[in-house]
Amino acid sequence: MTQITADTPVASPVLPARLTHAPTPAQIAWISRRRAIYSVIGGLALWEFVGQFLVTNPILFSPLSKVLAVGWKLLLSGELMRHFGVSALEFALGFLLSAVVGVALGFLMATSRRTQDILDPWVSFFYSSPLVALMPFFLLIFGIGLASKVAIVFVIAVFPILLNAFVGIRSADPHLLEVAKAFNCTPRQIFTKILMPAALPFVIVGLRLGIGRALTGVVVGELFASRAGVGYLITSAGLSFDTATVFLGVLIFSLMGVVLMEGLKYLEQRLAPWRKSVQETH
Amino acid sequence: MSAKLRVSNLSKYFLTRDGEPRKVLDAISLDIQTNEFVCIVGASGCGKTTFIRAIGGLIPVEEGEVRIDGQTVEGPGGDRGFVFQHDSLLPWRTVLDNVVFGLEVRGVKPAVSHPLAESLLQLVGLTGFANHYPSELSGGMRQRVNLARALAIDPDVLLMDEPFAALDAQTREIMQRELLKIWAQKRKTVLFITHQIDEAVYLADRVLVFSSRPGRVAADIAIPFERPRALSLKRSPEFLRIVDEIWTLIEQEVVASMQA
Repeated sequence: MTQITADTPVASPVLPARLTHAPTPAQIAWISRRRAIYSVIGGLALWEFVGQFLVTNPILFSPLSKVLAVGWKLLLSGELMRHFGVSALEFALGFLLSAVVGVALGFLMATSRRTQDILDPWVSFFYSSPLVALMPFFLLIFGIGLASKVAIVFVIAVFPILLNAFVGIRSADPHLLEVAKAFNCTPRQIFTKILMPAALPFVIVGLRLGIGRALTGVVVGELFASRAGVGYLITSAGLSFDTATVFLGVLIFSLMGVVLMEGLKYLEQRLAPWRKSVQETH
Repeated sequence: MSAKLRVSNLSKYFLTRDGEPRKVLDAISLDIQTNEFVCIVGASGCGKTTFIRAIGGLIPVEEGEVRIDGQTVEGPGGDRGFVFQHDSLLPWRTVLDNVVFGLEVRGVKPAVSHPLAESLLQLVGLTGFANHYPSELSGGMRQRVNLARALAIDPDVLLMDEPFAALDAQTREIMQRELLKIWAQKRKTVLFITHQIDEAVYLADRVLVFSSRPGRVAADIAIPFERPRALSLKRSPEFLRIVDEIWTLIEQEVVASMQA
């Protein structure tokens, strides 16, 4: 007869093999993240490799290292920050203007039948028009400087913001409006306590679309005619066959877009913590 | 003693697609005494939900009047607390902020409303869930919040529109028992709409049977069971006899509503 003591090895409970081998959600998330990191590193390495060995003509392509070197040089000379500052200001003013006007008009259209009836044909018309075509007109009216760029950014960013704000208010759950009624809310309370929070996720989607469009607006405006800005940097570099600087400019615009989208995602999580899932980008 | 809630000759019309008026509630009169628990049952389409919405002031009525403590009421008011059938919590508010909603719109300060909401959450069995969002709760828990929100404004009359209809059968039974427990503590006058006959008989002091097209009170049945009532009451012969009696009253109309 064997005595069972503390030293006696106890058989560990045997778990089904498939259970023990299943990765946890945290592991799956880590695997996904690792793949994304590898993908980015691989892409950058490929960029460098192609530039160094496959397409060596500096007019046709430029490796990452050379783009970064050009960027560093322009940064030290202060030129990069000057161009970036001009573009950032054009973006910020145009985008803020379109966000304020778009959300305000969208809310107004959604809550006032009359406003909707009057504005609807115009919004439909302008939303489906290629508004970048207005750039020559804005140059004539506002000149070559900041104002014409803000104008083009505003007109091409404002409509998706306006429409999403409108749809957000309109898609508020009628059941919740009934709750507001049952609790005797004033029209003002219905707006601030029901309609606005209900519209918030839509407003965020509109702003996300607006950011993409506003960046396009900055580029279009500056490519068309300008004296400064990252778009100007790209155009003048292109005219002198300086592909590395062209790539640098595009890279700066892309990074601006990524940073702004991430900032908006963070803002959404702060403003709308009840929403578990972050919406897919459009 | 005069009635807590008195409905006199209440009629409601809807316009059909052709613009013809159609009567959906036909001169309904009823009295509900203070602290009485009254259930209305009827086939779907009998106008019972329209009726309770009219009492709650959510829809206008063309004829008749509603009085609470002898005072005519028009439109919604704090004297009536509404518990909705559907999921009606505000998804962007936590459980606590949902419960205080009715107080907040009246300008009650959080210093007053929050302790009250905490005690109501305890009453409905949701202690510790104050900071959860509705999406994190089960259907039964959400209806508990729904009830706490209606109780928070301390209404004279509690109007409940099929509050347990969307719950699964087991959860519904538990919620019925819980509701009676809460009602025993809070002593409210309750008007409760349901299509489930056993639910009505288990909960009510009095069951009103609605007939359809247009809605009318077809029968007024007193429920004799002692309180507190155990869920096992539902298996007793007397209980089943009353359920059967009510079923016989509305069977024809249920069949008709299925064919409509």
